[in-house]
Amino acid sequence: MESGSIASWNLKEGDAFIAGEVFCSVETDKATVDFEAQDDGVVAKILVDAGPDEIQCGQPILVTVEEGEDVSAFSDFKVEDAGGAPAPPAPEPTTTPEAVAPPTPPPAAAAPAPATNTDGRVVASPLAHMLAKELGYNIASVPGSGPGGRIIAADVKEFVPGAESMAPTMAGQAVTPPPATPGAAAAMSAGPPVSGDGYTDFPVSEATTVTAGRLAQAKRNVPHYYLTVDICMDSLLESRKSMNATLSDDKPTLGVYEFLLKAAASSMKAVPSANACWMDSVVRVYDSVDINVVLGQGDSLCTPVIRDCGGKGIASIGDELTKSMESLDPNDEGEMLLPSGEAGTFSVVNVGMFGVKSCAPIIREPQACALALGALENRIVPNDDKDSEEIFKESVVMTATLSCDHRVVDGAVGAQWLAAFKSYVESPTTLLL
Amino acid sequence: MLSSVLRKGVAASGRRVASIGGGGVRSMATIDMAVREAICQGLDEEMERDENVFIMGEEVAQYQGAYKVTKGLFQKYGDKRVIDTPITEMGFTGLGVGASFHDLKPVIEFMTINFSMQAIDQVVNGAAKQFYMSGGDLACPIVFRGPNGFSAGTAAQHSQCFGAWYSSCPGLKVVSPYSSEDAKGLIKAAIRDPNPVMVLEHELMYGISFPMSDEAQSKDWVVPIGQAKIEREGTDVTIISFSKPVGLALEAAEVMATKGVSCEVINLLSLRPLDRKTIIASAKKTGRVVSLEQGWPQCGISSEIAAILMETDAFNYLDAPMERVTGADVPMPYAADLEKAALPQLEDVVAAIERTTYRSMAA
Repeated sequence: MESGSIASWNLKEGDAFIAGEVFCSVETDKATVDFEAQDDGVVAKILVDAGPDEIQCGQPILVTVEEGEDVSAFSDFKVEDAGGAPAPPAPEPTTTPEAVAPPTPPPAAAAPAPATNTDGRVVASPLAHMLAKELGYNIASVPGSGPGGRIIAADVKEFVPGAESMAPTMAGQAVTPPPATPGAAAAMSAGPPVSGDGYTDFPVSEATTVTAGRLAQAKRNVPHYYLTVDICMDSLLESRKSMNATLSDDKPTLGVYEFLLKAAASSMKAVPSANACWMDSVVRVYDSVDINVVLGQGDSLCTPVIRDCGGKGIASIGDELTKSMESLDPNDEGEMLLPSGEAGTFSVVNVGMFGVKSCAPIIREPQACALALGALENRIVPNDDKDSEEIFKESVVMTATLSCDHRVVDGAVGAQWLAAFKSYVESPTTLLL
Repeated sequence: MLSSVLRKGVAASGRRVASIGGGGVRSMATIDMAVREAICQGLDEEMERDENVFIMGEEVAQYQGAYKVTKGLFQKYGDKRVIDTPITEMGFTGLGVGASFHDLKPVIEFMTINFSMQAIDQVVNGAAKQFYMSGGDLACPIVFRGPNGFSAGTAAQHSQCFGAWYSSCPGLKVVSPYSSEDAKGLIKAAIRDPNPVMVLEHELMYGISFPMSDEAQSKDWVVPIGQAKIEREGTDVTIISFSKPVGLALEAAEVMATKGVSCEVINLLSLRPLDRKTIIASAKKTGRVVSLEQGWPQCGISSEIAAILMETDAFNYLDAPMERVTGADVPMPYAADLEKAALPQLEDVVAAIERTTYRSMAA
């Protein structure tokens, strides 16, 4: 009950009363209840008259005294005169208050505010911290009902999280296993398939479970939007051919991928705000462009990071790529190396190798963007050569799609980035700038 | 009945042979036995088993023991093995320590453990540290025993609990029984242990009877030193205690059960070595710990338990800070009502448990 009005006064100034006698009738939005005296005394001053005006809980309405002779002292009393004295308690309804709250009230409405000190620290028991971590909750968003508002284990167990209260995965943290299997090392082999009547069950390995969880969470949490552009690859392929011609035989040839990664890193220089991470209360913009390259598939899906692509040459990016791809192959014992989980600032996936035209990638939390590169296709495009008689020409074209987290990168910024990327790829000599 | 026939037979022979402890006749069923009789039975069995075991202390022989714990032993074993001493704790404790260096196994009784303070140099420097100081040459298989802690109106100088002080000494083992089975098993373990062992009994427990199982009545009943006992299993709160307060813990557990809180009660049995494993496992299980002791709060056993909870993995499983219920930080008063106020009472334990489970209702 937050406010009410006085329907009628039962006593007047100067009247003596005993415990249990009714002072006044208080009208609330639910019912009209009697305000009873708790002790014996005498009414000294009525501060608020009966009427329809809403009175907030906590506002004084009455002054009572123990002895009748003290009444006159209050004849001109006003609340402001009370000075530092605390207000008398609000009229308490004698009937049982509001209807029982529904069994699982939405956290925003019924739960008390999350427990924080003035310095922003969350006060929670160690067990509560552990549980919240296991369940993937952000402990700060759990309301606390322990002493002093401390968050205790029961609070965490009863908590119903909204999307924003799932724990942010911090950049640079290794992949954490889901609560169902705490502490277990990621096992590569997931057990043999089990055949049933008309189906086969393939047990899911640790690594797959982990990846699946993260992908689902990313799709839930991040407000994705997608920008697509078609890029003419002719100049880049020319540049690549001529660069490879200069290389001696013992050096590995440059692939297209490393050019594209370099172009992406340079685009980050042009649009730095895309090289960022969403961190709930801040947007962290990184100085160096560290690209997670998505390689492999199934149990061997991994996302090794190539650090500081902006500072590396195309050849060294290519070397790192090759090393990463080699680590995908099983070693001599037939064991697959564990997938790496180091986080970068930006992710790139190449579906073009499968002949797929385009892809709208899922952003890897908490990064702001992800780029998907489609297949290099021979397409017929309008001929921009005015002197030529042909109105069409053949060109190698690739479709690139940029997924953006709208919380960090809005449409204009994303489009600028993609435009920069297109321009670098179509004029690869500008990468030298 | 077999037992009454046996008693009659003994009386007829004119000489009490095997009825040590006043009626604890061997039988094939669980019987009730008072703590003092259980200790006496343990002493008797060990003296029978090993002729190097002897008892020394004030009034232990002819007077049958100040608290009648050594009743009947002087008659059975004679004055070479049950020895009355003058009132000089320092003297007879030193005698005992010296004897233990020469393969004898003395059981030194302190009329109350308060009096051991007169001989504490012999206990700690004479006995506890010798094995270390002699590089392993001098073993000291001595047992110190006596009633420890509060009694009824014994006032400041005769009511102190020495559990914390002795349990901090490396080289000394310290045990403290609660029930009759504990008492018998621990005294036997102490006598068989080649280390110096301090057995902290409790005067107000001597007369209390507990069921003694078949196994406990046997001559091989030994309670291993260093293992705590879970007196009552529970899931919500762990109460850790030793000696007489274990009874209080069990009472509090009953009260809390009616309020829907399931308490696990741990009887430490051994103060040094302390059974850390059991403490940690229980703390991890319930997440809430209340430590209960009769002694003073500062640097008490509860303080050590608090340190364990902080220093180990148990910390991560705590859902509430540990509570301790201890004796008041005063010399024990003489006036009965003040003495009561200076010792943990049932409502104190219940209040502590409720503080650990405290939760303010959501709006």
